[in-house]
Amino acid sequence: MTGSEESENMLYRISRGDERAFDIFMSQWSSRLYNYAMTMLQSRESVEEVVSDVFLEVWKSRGNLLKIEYLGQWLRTITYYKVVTRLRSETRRPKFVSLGDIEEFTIYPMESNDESILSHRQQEAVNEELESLPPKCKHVFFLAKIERMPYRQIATMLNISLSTVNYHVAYAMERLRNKLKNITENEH
Amino acid sequence: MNINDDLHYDSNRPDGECDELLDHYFDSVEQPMVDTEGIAILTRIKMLRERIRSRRAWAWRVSIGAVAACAVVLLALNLFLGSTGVSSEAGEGMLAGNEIPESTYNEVTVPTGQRMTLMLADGTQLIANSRSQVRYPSRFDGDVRHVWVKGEVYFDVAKDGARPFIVSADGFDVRVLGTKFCVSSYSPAEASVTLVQGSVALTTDTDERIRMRPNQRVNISDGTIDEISIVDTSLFTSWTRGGLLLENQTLGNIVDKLNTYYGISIEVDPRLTGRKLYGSLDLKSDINGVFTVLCSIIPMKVEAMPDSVTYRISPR
Repeated sequence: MTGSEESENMLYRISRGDERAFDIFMSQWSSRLYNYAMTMLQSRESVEEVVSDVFLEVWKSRGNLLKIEYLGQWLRTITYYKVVTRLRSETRRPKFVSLGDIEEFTIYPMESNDESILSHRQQEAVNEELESLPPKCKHVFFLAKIERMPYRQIATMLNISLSTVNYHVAYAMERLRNKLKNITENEH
Repeated sequence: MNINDDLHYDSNRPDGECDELLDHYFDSVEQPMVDTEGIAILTRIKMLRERIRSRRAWAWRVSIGAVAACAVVLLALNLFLGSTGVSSEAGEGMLAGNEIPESTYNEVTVPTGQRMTLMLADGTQLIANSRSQVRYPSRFDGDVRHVWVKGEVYFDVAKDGARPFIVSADGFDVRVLGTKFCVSSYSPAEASVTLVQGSVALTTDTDERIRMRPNQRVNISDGTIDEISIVDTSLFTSWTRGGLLLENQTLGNIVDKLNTYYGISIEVDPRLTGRKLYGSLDLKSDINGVFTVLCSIIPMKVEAMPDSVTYRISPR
């Protein structure tokens, strides 16, 4: 069985109410959704609440699970909305969902053991530069480059235009390129 | 320093290749490992609760039926009182000349732990919560419709552009044309108005005026406006359907509400006040029924004090 067939089979079993299949589903997605929610919430307790709410939502709508076209986008969208709702309940802000609600966005420190691509020092510089980007830009960049979501899906999920997504990614890439150029030139 | 010259970053590379290299890097980054056992357990608990809730939906339908039956009885009672009121006054009216007889007032007090649905003469429907009092005329004469409330009352006011509807509570008045809102005034120090639909004008005894928008909640303390916030109105109107919505509220908050609904005093061990609750709580006519449900959610025990109005909640 290929990966996608296997995943489809699992979704089919969940849609029929199979809780063991749902357990496997949870173990496959909880780390990813945890890491995504953590970028915005920064508290382990809140993130666990949010992710379990997302899974409950999946379980409640299991009847329609096979109709979902982009599973990853769907899960991240639910996560995103749950995070926004939570942030709002904590700050008592009105009920409008917008990217502006996320004031803090922290990408976990990234590290690659493969130093053939970027040296350790260069990796550190990239992390540092990423951290200094504006939160919205960081968010879009994270979804595009680290979560590998298609730009169109990001635009739909965050309710922004495709050109805004393009702009944020291009801006972040330029900043990272320049940073790399600077430190490499200084090394020589 | 270069292990692999083909791939390694070099400042002389064109931008396109540089981006490709960064993409390689992001691909090779591993996501932090997370212990997700807690999430799985939490989800399981929520699934279980969901199952219990859907089972309770049946019980709900039955209790809504009971409230509806109660409404029919009150409506009949109201018509009866209204008609006797008119007939007795008609006699007086003849003695006093051709004056229009003043309508009689009815006063209702809701028994502890219960809710009552009332239909007023103009078609306005109201639901009064446990221990609330409502004073209303059997007919609406004159150019305003005026009622008085104490406690918690949900209004669905019949539209009548010519005759504003006025709700007076201790410390403030709410003036409306036709809309849905909830007034809570068990104590003048902690009163509130929550607007579900339409628009209302609020005037306090200290002459502060505000026009409210849907989803707004205004807290009023001793006749002055304390706080205006945007809320999920279902949290403040869930009681009209016989349940108290617990969504993300702490045990401390819930106990405050139970104290006002049942006219009792519950003391909670500080180790438990911050406990968050989910789902909804059926408001039984007896507080002990509520305690039984709470004890099944939280590991706690309840002791009744000899004065029969004080209860003490502590961890089990």
